[in-house]
Amino acid sequence: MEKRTEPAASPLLLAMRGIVKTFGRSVAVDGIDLDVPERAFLTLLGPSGCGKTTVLRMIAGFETPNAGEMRLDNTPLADVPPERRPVNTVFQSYALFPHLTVNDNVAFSLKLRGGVADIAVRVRRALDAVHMADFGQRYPHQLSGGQQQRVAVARSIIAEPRLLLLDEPLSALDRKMRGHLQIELKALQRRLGIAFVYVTHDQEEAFALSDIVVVMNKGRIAQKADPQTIYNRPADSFVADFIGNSTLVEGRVLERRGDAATIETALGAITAPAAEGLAAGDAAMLVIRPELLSTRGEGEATFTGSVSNCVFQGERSMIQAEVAGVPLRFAAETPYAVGTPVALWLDASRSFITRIAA
Amino acid sequence: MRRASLCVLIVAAAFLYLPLVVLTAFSFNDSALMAFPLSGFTFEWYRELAQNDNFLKGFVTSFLISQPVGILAMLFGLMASLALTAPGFRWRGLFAVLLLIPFLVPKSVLSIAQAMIMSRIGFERGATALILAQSLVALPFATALISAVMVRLDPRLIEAARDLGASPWQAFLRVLLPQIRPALSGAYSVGVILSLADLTIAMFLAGRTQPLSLMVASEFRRELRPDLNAMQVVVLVLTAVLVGLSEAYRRRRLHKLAANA
Amino acid sequence: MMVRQRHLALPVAAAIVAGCLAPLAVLVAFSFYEVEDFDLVPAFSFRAWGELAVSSTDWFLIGKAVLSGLSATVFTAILGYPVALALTRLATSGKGLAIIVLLTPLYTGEIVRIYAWRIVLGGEGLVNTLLQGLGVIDEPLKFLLFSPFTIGLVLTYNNLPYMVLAIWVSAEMVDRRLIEAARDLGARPVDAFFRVIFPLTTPGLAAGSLTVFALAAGEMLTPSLLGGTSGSTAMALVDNLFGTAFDWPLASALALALLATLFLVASAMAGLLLRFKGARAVMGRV
Repeated sequence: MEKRTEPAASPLLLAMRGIVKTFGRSVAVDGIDLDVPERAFLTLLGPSGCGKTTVLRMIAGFETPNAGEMRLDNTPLADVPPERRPVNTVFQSYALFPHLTVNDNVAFSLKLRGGVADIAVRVRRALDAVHMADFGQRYPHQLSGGQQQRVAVARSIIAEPRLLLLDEPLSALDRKMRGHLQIELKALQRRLGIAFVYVTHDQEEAFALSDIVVVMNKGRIAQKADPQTIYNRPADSFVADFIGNSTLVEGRVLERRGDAATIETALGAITAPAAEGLAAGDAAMLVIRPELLSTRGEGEATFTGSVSNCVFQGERSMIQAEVAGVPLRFAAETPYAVGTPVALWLDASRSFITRIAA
Repeated sequence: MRRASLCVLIVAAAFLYLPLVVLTAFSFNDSALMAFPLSGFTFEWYRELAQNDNFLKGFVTSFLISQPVGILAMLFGLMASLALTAPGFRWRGLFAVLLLIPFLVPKSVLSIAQAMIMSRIGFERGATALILAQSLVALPFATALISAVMVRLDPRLIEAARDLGASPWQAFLRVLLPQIRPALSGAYSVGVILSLADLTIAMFLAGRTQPLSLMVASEFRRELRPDLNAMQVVVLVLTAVLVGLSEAYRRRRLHKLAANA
Repeated sequence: MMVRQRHLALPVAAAIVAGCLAPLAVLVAFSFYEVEDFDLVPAFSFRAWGELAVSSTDWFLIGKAVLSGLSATVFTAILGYPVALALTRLATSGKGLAIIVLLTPLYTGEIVRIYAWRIVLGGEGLVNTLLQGLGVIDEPLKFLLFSPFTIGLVLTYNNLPYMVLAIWVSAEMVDRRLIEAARDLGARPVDAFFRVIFPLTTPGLAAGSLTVFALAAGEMLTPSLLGGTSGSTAMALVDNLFGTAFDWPLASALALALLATLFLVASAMAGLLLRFKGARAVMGRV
C-alpha cells in the first residue's frame, strides 16, 4: 500500500517475512514483514515495549524468531550465529569492553579473525572517521558519553558489515550532543554506503536521519514510509498520536470523494484528505496538527472557543483552546491569558482523516 | 549521627578482634602460664614452634590440602556461576537451591554421612576425601563471589563480542574472563581459607592424614600451651595476608576496570 | 557441539548430588538397617527410630540445638543491625577496609577462635583479671568459661559477621532518599528505622537468620570444647554412636531427626520474616 514511498532503485539487502517472537506468554513481535534496501537509513520508531529492539536483536542474531524467515543478501539467516552474520551493532549503552583501550576495542573484530595485516592502519582509519584518532590509548571510562558513542560506532564499522544496527545510540546523551552526533551519523552513513537500521523512540531523531521510518505498535508495523508521508498522512490514529503534537478528533465519515472525505465531528463537518479505504459510515479520526490552526484568516473563523491553557516555550507559546468540548492545540507568538476568547482558522486541505488504530 | 556510627564500628571491631589480640599478646608473653598481667616479651615460643617437626609437617599437610580445594572451588564455582547467569536456563531456581545445600546442611551432619557412605563403598578416608568434602563446602561461597560479579556485568558486553565475530568460547576468554579474574582469585582464596580454617570435616574424613587443625585440637583438649598460641598467631597472620592480598588484587583490578557506567 | 552455557550446571549438580544428597539418602537407608556383631545388615527395621522416639535425651539435645540456633540468631540480629547500618554510612574506600576487618575473623580457623576465647574467659583470663583489678569482683567469675553462657557468646561471635554482611547488603540497597523522605515527613530516627529501614531490610535479615541458624544449630565443636558439662550436643552424640558405639542406624536416625527439625524451624523462621510487607515489596521488584 505504501510501496510507492520506497526508494525503488536500491536492491534488497534484508528481507523479513512473517517474523514472530514471543517471550513466555507476551508477544514481542507479532508477525512483521520488513524489507531493508541497500544503502538505506531505516528507522524503527515506537514507544518502549513496541518490539523495535527485539526486531533489531533478531537481525543481529541475539534472539531467535519463533516463526518467519529472514534473508540477508538472499541467504537465510536462521542458523547463522551472531558472530558469523555480516551485521554489527552499536549498543544502547555502547557496551565498550572496559578492560581494553579504545584501540583494542576497535581492533577487536579484526584481531579475532587473525591474519589481518593492516590492523593498526584500519583502526586509525575507523577512529578518524568518527574524529577519535587521538584517543586510541584511553580506556572507555576515561571518555565522555559522546566519545564513547563514537568509539562504539568505529568498533562496529571497522569490519565493514553489510548492515549496521543501532539501538537507541544517542539516548544517553544530552540534547546538544545528540543533535551534533545525528548530523555526523547521517554523514557517515552516506559516506560508507552501509545500510543502517536505527532504533529510537524519538520522532524528531527519526525524521532527521531516515530515508524510511517504520512506526511500530504492539509488535506490529503501524506504518512504513518516508518521514514526510508519516508526518502528513499518518496511517492510523496511533501513528498520528505518536508523531507530533496533534489534536485527534473522533468522528464518522459522511462522504468520500476521491482522495478527500468529509467527516462529522464534535467540531462540525470538515472536509480533508483521507486515508485510503475509508468509506462513508466508517468511524475515523481527524488529525489537526498545531501548525494548521491560525488565529488570523479570511472569511468566517472555522472555530471559536476560549483559551484553557498556555505554555510558554520561548520562541513561541503552545496554547490549548476549548472548542465545543474539544481541546485544540496551536502555536502562537505571544502567550495568551487563560479565558481569552479566540477565533481559529483551520487549513483543512493539509489536515488528514485517518483510521482508528486497533 | 556520624560519630555514633563510628563508635558502633569501633566497638564491633573490638569485639571481633579481642580474642585474637589476646592470643597474640600471650604468644609473646614471657611466661608459660596464660594469666594476666603479662610478664614480659619473648620470641621463645616462636623459636620452639620452629623446632617442632610435627607442627611443621601438619602445616605442610594443611597447605597441600588447601591448594586443590581452592582450585576446585574456583572451577566449580565458575561453572555454577556461568550456568546461573546463562540465558534461558529453566532450572535456575532449583539449581540455586541445590547450591545452597552444602552451605545449609550442618558440616557435622554432612561429614558423618559422607564418612558412612565412604566406609560402606570402601573409599578410604584421607587427603582425597578431605579435599573433595572441603571443596563442596567451599562451593557455595565461591559461587556467591563469582556470580555476584557476573550478574553486575553488562550482558551486552558478551553480545557485543559475539556481534564483532567472537565465538562463545572467544567471548568468554577475551571479554568475560578478564572482568571476573578478581572474583576468580577471590573464590580460590575462599577455598584455601575455608580449608585451612576447617576442623569439623577433618575430624570425620581426614583418616590418617593429620592437618594442623586436627593436631591443635588434640593438644588443646589437654592443655593450653604458649607455643600453641604462637602457632595460632602464625596461622592467623598467614590467613590475614591471604585475605589482604586477594582483596588488594581485586581492588586494583576494579580500579582499572572502573566501569564506564 | 551444542554444549551451551547452562549445561555447565550438570557437573556441578552431579557433584552436589554425589557429595551431599547421596550421603543424606544413605543416612535414610541406614536408619532402617540393623547391626549384628558389629556389622551393618540391610533390613527394614524401625528399631532405631523406635529408640529415638522414646529417648528423652535425644529430643532434649535436638531441642537444645534449635534453642542455641535461635538464640545465636536473635543475638547476632540485635548486634548486627547497628553495625550493618553504621557500615552503610562509610565512604566507599572505608567499605573496602570494613569488608576485610569483618571477614578476617570469619576466616580464622575454628580452633583458633575457640582457643582464643578460652584464654580471654579463663579464670586468670582477660575478663576476670580486669574485673578483679578494678575491684568489681573478688573471686574469678566461674560462669564465664565452660557454661551455657560461653556457648552463647562464642556462637554469637562466630556468626556475627554473617548476619552483619547479610543485613549490610540489604541496607545498601535501600535508597538513602527514602530515609531522608521519612525524616522530612516528620519521622524521628527511631521511626525511620522501624517504618522504613527495617521493613526494607527484612530479606537481608531473613538470609542472615537462615545462615546463622543453620551454622549455630549444627555446631558441635564450640559446645564440646568450651561448654564444659553443658556442652553435650546432638551431633556429639551422633559422633559417639557412629564412632564408639557403632550404632549407625541410631546415629543416622538422630542426625536425620536433627536435620529435619532444623529444616522445619528454619523454614518457619524464613516464612515468618518474609511475610513482612517490606520483604514482599523488595522481593517483588526483582
